[in-house]
Amino acid sequence: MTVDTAHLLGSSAPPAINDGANSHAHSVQFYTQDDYLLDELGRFIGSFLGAGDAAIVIATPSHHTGLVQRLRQHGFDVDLAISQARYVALDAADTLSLFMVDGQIDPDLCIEVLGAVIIAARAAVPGDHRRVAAFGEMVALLWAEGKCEAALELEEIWNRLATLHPLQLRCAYPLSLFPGSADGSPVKQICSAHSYVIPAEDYTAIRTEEERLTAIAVLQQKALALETEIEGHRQARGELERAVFARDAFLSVAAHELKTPITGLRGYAQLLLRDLKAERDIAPERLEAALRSLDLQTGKLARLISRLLDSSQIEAGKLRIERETTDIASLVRSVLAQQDSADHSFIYDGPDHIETQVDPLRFEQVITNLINNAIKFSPQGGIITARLEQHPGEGTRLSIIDHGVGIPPDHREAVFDRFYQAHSDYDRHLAGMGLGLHIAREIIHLHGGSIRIEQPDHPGSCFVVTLPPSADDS
Amino acid sequence: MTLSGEPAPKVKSSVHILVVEDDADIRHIMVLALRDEGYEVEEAASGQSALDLLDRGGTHPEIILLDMKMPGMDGEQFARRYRELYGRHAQIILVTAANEASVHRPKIDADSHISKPFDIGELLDKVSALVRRPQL
Repeated sequence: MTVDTAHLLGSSAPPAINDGANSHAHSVQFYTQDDYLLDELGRFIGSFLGAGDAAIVIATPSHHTGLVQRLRQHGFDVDLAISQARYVALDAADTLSLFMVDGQIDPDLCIEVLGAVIIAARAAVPGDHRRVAAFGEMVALLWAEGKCEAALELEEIWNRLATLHPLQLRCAYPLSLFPGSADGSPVKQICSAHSYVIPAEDYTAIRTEEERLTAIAVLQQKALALETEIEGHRQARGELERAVFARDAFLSVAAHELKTPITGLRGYAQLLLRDLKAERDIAPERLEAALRSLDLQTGKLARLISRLLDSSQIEAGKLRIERETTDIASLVRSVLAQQDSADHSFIYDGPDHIETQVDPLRFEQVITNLINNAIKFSPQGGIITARLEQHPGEGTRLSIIDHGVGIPPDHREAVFDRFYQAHSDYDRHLAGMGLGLHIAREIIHLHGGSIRIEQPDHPGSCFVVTLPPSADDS
Repeated sequence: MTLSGEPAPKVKSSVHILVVEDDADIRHIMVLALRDEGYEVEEAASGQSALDLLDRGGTHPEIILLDMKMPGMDGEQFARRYRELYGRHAQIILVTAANEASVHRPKIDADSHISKPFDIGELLDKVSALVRRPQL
């Protein structure tokens, strides 16, 4: 208690070490030279021991020696403090081994070991306002061994300990542990585990060119870390904005697609009700038109809703397929036979039977979506061909070819994206909900196959589905 | 509007209305509802066929019920072309979703609008309001 703490602190002590203001501060020191670290550490530990408080130092042997030397140079009786149990010196590697299990930190064991050390140190300090300073290098040892996650975990454990005990924590990392970390992210991760960061230099006392370069290096690391973070935020924001735009466009189109059939249903219902109210005879052709519309439009609404549900299942990763041996040639022909477009003719070009392993309901949905797409994008009518081919060892290939408006080359990847509408720019009427092709692609992917667009040798589009060979292909 | 105290249909028979709508069901419903009220109604499934119909002459409509989203020439393009060719001869009622009506209506100088899915009574009220407030 005879030590002059003002002397220990020195006349130009940097503000960063005045951490007594915050009883739970957890600071990190970056350094390039041991002398610089030990000088700073001497002031930090010395200020506590000098005030009659306790200090725990968990360091490498050479740092222990250097620290004790500095404390003694300041006239401090280290042996007395050790005998009073106020100065606890532990070897970093030995301490670490007490709670490392199979190369991993055992968090409970770690808290138990370090907690016991802290409690013992506090008990050695008389009075009510017991403070404990703790310096640790175990994190740096872990980082040097490449166990970066364990180091960050240990930093968090120290933070938890600091909420249980009145601790002033400091750890230190040599900058040599972060060679060429161009993105600055390791430094950033470490910094984020601490309540504040002491740079490698005291800027007010930069004396040599080397110190200046070191300071610049640390600032550059921080600047890079911030730039990386800002770029990350910028990208995330861009993605979010695109997603919001796609969702809004989708909602607008979906609302239109749903309103059109509802307008028809409501209109016919009101027409008939008005007839009843006016006690007019309902014309049979009016009743028939209303019932036909009811049948057609409710079917359309049901399909729209199924697509919305499929799409949300796909997004949630919940769409499942159940493969069974299926004659896909028959399947393709039956879908073609169901089409009733007066303006189009449908041609099947392929063998009578091709048996392969698919989910028949889902594969039928793919064919239907592709045929509907072909009909929609050939509003002037024309021939729609479904060509089915199977070559030994090469799987099965289904091409749906139309003579319509075609897909511009720069849209051929994106048409399969959810909510995407290739033609919304120049002809809104052709826009659907942007779900049919997306659902088709996801079903094909679940079958291990692929789908792409080729340019036929005439105006129009050719959608090609390729399924991999399955065991019973012959 | 629908009960017996109405103006006699023969008054309305002098009012000509053109319905321009691509959805066959919706077009059919509007035509039937208007005819039930005694209006003279013609119909077109697109902006271009509406222009062709007007070009062929006959009785020029006093009121045009106009859908916005149609293949080929859409409602907005039709309205612009109509105003160029015929000025404000006919009054135009937009038949479209409410949020779009507020966007389109000033652009094409429409006289009224009604949102889908519309109520037939409201549609007829809007038409008769324009009949009672003739242009020119």
